[in-house]
Amino acid sequence: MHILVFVKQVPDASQVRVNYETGTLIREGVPAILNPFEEHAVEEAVRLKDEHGGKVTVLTMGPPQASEALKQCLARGADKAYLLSDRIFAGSDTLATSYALYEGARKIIELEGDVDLFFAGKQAIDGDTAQTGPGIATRFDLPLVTYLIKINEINLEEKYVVATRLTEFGQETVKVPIPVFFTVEESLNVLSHSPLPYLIKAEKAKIELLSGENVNLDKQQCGLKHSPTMVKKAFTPEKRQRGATLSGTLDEVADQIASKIAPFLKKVS
Amino acid sequence: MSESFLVKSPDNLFIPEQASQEDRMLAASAREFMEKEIIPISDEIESKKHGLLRELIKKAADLGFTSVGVDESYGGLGMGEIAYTVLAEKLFGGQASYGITWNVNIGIGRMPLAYYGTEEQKKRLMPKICSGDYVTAYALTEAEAGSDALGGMKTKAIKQPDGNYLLNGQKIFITNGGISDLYTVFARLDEGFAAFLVEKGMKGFSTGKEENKLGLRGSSTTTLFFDDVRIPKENLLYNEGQGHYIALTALDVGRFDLAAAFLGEAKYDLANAIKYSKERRQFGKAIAEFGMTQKKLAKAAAQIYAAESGVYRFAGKWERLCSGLDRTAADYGKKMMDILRALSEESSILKTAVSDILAAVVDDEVQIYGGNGFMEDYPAARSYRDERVFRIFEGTNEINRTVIAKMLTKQITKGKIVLETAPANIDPNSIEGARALLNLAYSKATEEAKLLNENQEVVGYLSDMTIMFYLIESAYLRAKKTGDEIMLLLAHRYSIDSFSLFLDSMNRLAKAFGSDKLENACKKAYSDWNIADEVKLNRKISALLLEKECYPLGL
Repeated sequence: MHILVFVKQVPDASQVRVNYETGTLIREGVPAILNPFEEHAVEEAVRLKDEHGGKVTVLTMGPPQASEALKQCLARGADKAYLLSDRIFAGSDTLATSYALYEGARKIIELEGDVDLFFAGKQAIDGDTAQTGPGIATRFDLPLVTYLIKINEINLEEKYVVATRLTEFGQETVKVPIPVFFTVEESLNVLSHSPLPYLIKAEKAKIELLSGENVNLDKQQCGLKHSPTMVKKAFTPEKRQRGATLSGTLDEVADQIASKIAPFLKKVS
Repeated sequence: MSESFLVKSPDNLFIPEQASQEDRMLAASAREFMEKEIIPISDEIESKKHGLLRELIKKAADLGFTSVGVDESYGGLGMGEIAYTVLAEKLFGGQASYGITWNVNIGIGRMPLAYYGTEEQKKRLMPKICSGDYVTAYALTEAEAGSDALGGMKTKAIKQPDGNYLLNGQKIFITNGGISDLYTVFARLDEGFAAFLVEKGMKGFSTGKEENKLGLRGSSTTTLFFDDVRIPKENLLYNEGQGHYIALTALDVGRFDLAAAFLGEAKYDLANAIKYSKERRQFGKAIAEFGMTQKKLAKAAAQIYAAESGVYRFAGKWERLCSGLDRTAADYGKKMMDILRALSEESSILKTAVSDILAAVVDDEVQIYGGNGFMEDYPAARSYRDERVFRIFEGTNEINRTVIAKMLTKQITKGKIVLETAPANIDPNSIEGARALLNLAYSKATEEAKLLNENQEVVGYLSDMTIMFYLIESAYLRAKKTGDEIMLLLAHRYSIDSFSLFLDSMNRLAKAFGSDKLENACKKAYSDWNIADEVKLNRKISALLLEKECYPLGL
């Protein structure tokens, strides 16, 4: 079984401040970490590899220093790490990023063989968009299971996975064919402590480099120029008003609610 | 040529900032292990829950920590002396009962085998230690043989006609006594001493009840009984009659890695004190805002900085001296012994200095916690109880002070260290000036050998001057090497207290020797010393500490 995990190096959100004039994040002097959701994605991939056999490959797009995040993945037990790095990717939004990662993944499939399970975090803690993972899955035309909280069963012979995901209202358990794309929640697993031999191996490991040179890319879909996302304004949303507390018997409370929503119902009709 | 710090500053001082990426990763991983797996279950550890310590050693072994510093051919991961130091520091702070269990297990418990074992012994036993299936202990102390470990030793091994040995006697206060599988036991022979690898379950070998201690209550400390224990000749370590070399080399390592461990503990205690001082409010503000609290925090950070500079200075020098050593070679023990004997006084300096520093740090920690510091529900009390033995074991601080001054005077008398003639004008505001004062003291001490032998306090003054100089030098050289402003502030803050003690000791020494020359040099130094403004330093340093909520430097 081949598992490919998409990861991102992000600034440690607990130490980031916002520049309200430009609407951007002040990243200077903030330590870079592996996106926490993806730490759990790698943990899960390695756990599944240990159980079912196979290998785990990780891919990130970013500047050369993003290889530190890849080393963390190797320390967690991933087998091989690829860094997609090129100036042409600078300033990419989620559309351009998911395109570049899609092409990077296609190259990895060419080099390492078909992928059965794709993983990414549910979102990155810097942008919080939750768009890149789904963007890649769509380009591959793969079934997408977002907000994964549990892998219940993997059947490699009949090629399906039974998995549980979080929804706005509760949980949903789905059966999906392999290959499949997951974006994961932190509650998926508990991170284990990496053994020293893994850490040492990771420290000495070679990170494979991918760039515009060795990946087949349509440059018209890369970088800032081809990123249609515009940040109009960044602001802290207003705090929601605390809801009113109603008291009385059930009937009385129901009456109070009805009278409160009645004006809105009229407007709609 | 001697590399003694009495003569000149090291050319290639190692500082923590130079640590490799691998050592940094090791530090982070070890700390994470301590914080997630060990500290949260402190109460269980302190209650001596049966089997727990061994389980936790096994847990550390599963992550590879017991394999650091062991050659690959014996199941180890390799790595050097700096990595070993990092582990000693990081796997201690916050849970000293576990820390001491760990420290002995990979330190004095394992080192005799690692250094002096034959290929067969190492192949047989080392993989079991690396895997965590074997826990180790070191058995030297006896009821009548404490600081005078060799002179008073009664445990005896008699060689049998078949070449094996019969061991009889008792050892007391043995750390890991009740939980180990492999004990390095020292015994008297008909002539000289020998060390034996005694394994759990050998007929006639038993352990006593767990001691009820002031601190380190979770660790195992017992008596060992040897009643006609037959030790196969394959378990003799190194050579007959050379056991005392093994004992001393192990202590040289042991003293140093305890210094590293105390450093880790001091960082933990300082972080607790800082956090508590921010939470606790009196007179409408956090007690962290009061000057006397800030003084305590700044002083502790400066002492920790000096201790850390000294510990890693030693680690770097040790690793450099060991570079190219083959851990599988037959003469590895002999070579390592030569290296460690040459580092002996520095090892004693660090054990004494850092245990004294930790004592001061935990004392102030309890004070900052106020009434809560006296309550066992808060962490300060346990740190305070645990610390006390650090100034007693692995050579009392008195014995170590004797080692420091006596070894150095001996080297001077033998011509191995050639002191500099003091310049006419000594500037006490420079490292060279402080060294010149120290040289003056040693020069007088070697002339007054008889007085020194008859008055142990005088040896103590000389050692205190030496200890203070070593750490002041380490602190300033590190700040100079990095150009870091915080480090310079910490070095200044450290020197306020420590150079005062240096001069105070020198003054007492001068009186004892009746030396006007020393006394005048001391008085002049005091009047020429531009002592830094402590209050300003306290403000700057404590502001940083309160922001970071921990000691801000190091690995």
